[in-house]
Amino acid sequence: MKQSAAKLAPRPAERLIQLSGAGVKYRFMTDADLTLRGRVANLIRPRNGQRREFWALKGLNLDFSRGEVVGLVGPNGSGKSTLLRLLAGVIEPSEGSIERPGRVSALLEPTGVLNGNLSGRRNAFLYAALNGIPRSDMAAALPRIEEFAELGPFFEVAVRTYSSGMLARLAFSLATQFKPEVLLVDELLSVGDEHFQKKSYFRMMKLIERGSLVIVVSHHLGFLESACSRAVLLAGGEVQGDGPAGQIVAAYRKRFG
Amino acid sequence: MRRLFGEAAGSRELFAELLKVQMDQRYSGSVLGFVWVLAVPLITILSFSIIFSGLSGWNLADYGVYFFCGYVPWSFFQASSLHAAESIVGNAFYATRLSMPKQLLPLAPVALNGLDALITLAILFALMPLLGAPFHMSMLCLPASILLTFSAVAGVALLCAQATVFFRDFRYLLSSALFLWFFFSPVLWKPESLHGPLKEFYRLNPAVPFLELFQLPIRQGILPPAETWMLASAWSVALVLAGAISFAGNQKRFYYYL
Repeated sequence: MKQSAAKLAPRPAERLIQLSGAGVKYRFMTDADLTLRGRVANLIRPRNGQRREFWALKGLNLDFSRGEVVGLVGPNGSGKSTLLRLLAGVIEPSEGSIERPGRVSALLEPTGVLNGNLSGRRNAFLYAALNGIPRSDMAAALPRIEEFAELGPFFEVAVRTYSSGMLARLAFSLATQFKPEVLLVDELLSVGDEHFQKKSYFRMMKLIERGSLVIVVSHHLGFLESACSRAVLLAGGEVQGDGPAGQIVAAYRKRFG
Repeated sequence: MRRLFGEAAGSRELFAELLKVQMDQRYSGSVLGFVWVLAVPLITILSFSIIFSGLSGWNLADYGVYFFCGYVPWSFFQASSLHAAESIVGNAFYATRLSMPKQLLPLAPVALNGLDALITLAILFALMPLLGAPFHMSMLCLPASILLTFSAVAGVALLCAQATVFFRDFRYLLSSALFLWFFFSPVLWKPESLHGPLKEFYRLNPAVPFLELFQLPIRQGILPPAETWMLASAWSVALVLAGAISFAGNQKRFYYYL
């Protein structure tokens, strides 16, 4: 766990993701904006003088390369999760552009895309289908997924009965089993216990050795310092710093700590 | 639009998995499970046939076959539209956390309800000898009837799914509109019972050609006229194009409304 990721990681070379002047604009949505009745009422009596839009991300120019472990740090509302969603392809930039590879594995929440009504096993097949992994490959990988997730008989039970740690183990096990080119992780690693965090850390290190790009959002600064080779500091939707993880985390502590 | 169909065609495993999940969720909570697929239409058809054949003075068996022929495509259309309307909002966790072909979400309930409709149609065929209704050569056109109806319903499903994303109260409007539309469509009543200008205007109802594609070959043993085929084809093409083009244009905005 103490081993530096920078030593394990190969020299960053091939660029996998490139953001060029990318920005994401959100609209403030009220209940009235989401109903036909509200929209008609707004047409008849427009609500003027309200700021209806804001930029969650603005003018991002960032490159991410194969073999990097990048930590995203920033205060709440700085745009970290929006950036992960942009990188995952869940949202498209409102301005600028993004280039990304085909195989991106994203763990955007501890529950990920796990369906609460399905068992761990059924969720594994659903995950495979959602991520374009052939069913036969998933069937072959199931014993390894089950072993890593350490769910025992709960693997056959509906995941709505799982604890947050169990959900995190299953989600992480699924996301990392098929060696994605890019792994995006949002706060997941802070959910599990120390044993899970250690296992996850070593699994991530293996992915990095094989050339994957890992981008992690976490408020656990110690974890980011030890696991990441690089960090990006976001605030107000803009990049405030980009460099070695130790240096960026120190800057974050100084400014927001 | 080509990308929309290409993505859907390339996601067969995901489509199959979504269907399985929907089937599980639909039947796992009920004691009778899959038996409901058979029981619900049978109970509906039996009760409506007894009540309305009595009220209208028509022969029960003849009315039963007539109602069955219209009820199968109508219930397919109604259930698919309502389920599709909920499909993206109800599965927002997929649409907001994964880059996936979102058009599969409304198309999955269309496929599932299509399967139910085919099973119900098979029940009708099994009951026809008991009701004294003969099989006709004209019934060989039913695969084309099914294909046209399926296309039109898929187009409507894509439209309903988007509408609910942008307007959450659309589902309530849809439910009420479908209820009214049912009574204005020749499912419970026969066009022969209309008089005067109503007899001309009822054909403006877009549901009419699709109902005729089933009612004429099964009950009356005649092939639907060319006008019916042309109207149904025109509606199918228009609805598929409207659904697919608008979905392709709007899907990037879904995230912000979910």
